[in-house]
Amino acid sequence: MPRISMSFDAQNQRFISDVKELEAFCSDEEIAETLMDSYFCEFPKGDIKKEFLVGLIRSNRREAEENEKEIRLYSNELQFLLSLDDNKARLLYYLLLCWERLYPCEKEYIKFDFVNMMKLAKEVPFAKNIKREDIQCLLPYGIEFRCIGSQNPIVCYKLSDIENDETDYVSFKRGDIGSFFVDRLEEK
Amino acid sequence: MYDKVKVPLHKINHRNLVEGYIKGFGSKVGIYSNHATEIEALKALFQKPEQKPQRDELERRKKLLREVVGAEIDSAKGLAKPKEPAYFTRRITVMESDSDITKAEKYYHNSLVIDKKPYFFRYLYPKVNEKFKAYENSYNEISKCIFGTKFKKLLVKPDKTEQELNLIRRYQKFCPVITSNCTMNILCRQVEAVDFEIQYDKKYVTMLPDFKTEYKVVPEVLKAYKNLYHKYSNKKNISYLKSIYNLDTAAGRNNLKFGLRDLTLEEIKEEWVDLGMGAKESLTYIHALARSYTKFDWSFAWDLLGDIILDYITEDYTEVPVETHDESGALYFGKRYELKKVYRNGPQLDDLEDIDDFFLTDEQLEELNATDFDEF
Repeated sequence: MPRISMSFDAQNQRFISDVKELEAFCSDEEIAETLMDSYFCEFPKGDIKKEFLVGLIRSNRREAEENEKEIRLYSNELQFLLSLDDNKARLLYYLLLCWERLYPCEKEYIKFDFVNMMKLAKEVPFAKNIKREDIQCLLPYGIEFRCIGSQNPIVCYKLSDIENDETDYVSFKRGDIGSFFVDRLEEK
Repeated sequence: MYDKVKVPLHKINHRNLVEGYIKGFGSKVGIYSNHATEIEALKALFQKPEQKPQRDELERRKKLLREVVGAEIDSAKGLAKPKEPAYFTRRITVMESDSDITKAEKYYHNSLVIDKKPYFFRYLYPKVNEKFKAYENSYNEISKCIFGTKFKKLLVKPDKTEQELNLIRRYQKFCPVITSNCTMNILCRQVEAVDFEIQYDKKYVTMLPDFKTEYKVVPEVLKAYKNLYHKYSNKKNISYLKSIYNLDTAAGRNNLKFGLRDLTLEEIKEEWVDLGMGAKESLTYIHALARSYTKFDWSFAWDLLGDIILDYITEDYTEVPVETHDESGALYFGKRYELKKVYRNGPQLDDLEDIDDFFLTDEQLEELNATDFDEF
């Protein structure tokens, strides 16, 4: 169990920036050892564990890799999104579409993960006020929910099909989901 | 009834004793008796007059299981191990190509299969509880998304729409436990209704003493206590670590939660020691801090000060519920209880043979009050 200092967030931010510089040259374990040395120089009383740092490095790397994933939105989908009156509904439908593209499933239903889905829109100022209950406004547009699996039940959703021209699309990276909404879809 | 089978004679020697023990291991008595309980819960689903065949069939299976349980127990004596009929627990797949009669037969068979545990088993088996909670949470999330309300509220809502009823039907159909009105489930719900209502009232005030007349509250120091309290109630680090470690099991999450809480507490205590204050003065500051919150977590004071806090509690008694025959006692599960005072300097529970000795008589109480403890 790693010891977590109370100034954890600040230290974490610093570690992450250090890690970004180091990760091109060293293995995760080597980075962790280097960071531990610098940590103990600054916080001699500290008790951080190597496994914890390796976990942190990997999680950071995973996120960086994930953010590079490409998402395609077709022009018909964009038009549909722009036809929605409410910014909240527009953002929710947009995020559900992005989530579907990021984590597609052969079956019709996509795993619904509201918390992580909303994290994609951290650049959108009003996103933090959106609750699960707000999804109700999308029901007229054909969204369906279902609980799938009896051993390990998960909530899944399905959006109604929109006919798309496969050649007419815009693409952006996962890390730019929020900024794309602000630039192209948000009604100012 | 079944015929009594004669048990083969064995000499009592080391080899036969060991063989007997080995046969006794891995007994399926528990599994079979659980199946009988599950049948009893299942039976409660078929209460309509036209469902008598199902009830009779389940009753027959329950009696058969009684035989199987008896034979399983006797198998340790050297008799053959019994087998539970496979059709008790195995569903049959209904094919599209099946005729209507075959389909009806298969549906009938599947409706009597025992592959779920009764609802009350959630309190016996943590895994069942975990599975049921996950299932409930999923439906709660769906209910919030579609109807904007918690699933529990939806269940009791009058005049449900067709869409709401559909969700409830799906919930009941795929529920991992049998929620029928069998005797044990009814009892379980009654216990839940009584037990879950017991909660701390927000209006309650702490009995920890405040020494505000003895100490003056310095704003800078109060700020330091506020920081300690924030660190104590901060849940951010736990969710951050959870996202890193991807903990799926409740044990793993609890391990992380309590481990982190211990470490946080240790760190807070170190900072508190650096403030160089005694327990009395700290209590004054904690009281001052609590006044700025509508709901203050008093476990902060208990965790920070530890056992020392007991020395500053001026109340020298507590009240405990004791069974009584007096009609004025509060009714709880068919028995009446009243509150009796237990004094700090009175006898301790571990020393007593009779629980009544734990409570002081009026004479003893007077004697105790008259005692001058400074003499000791």
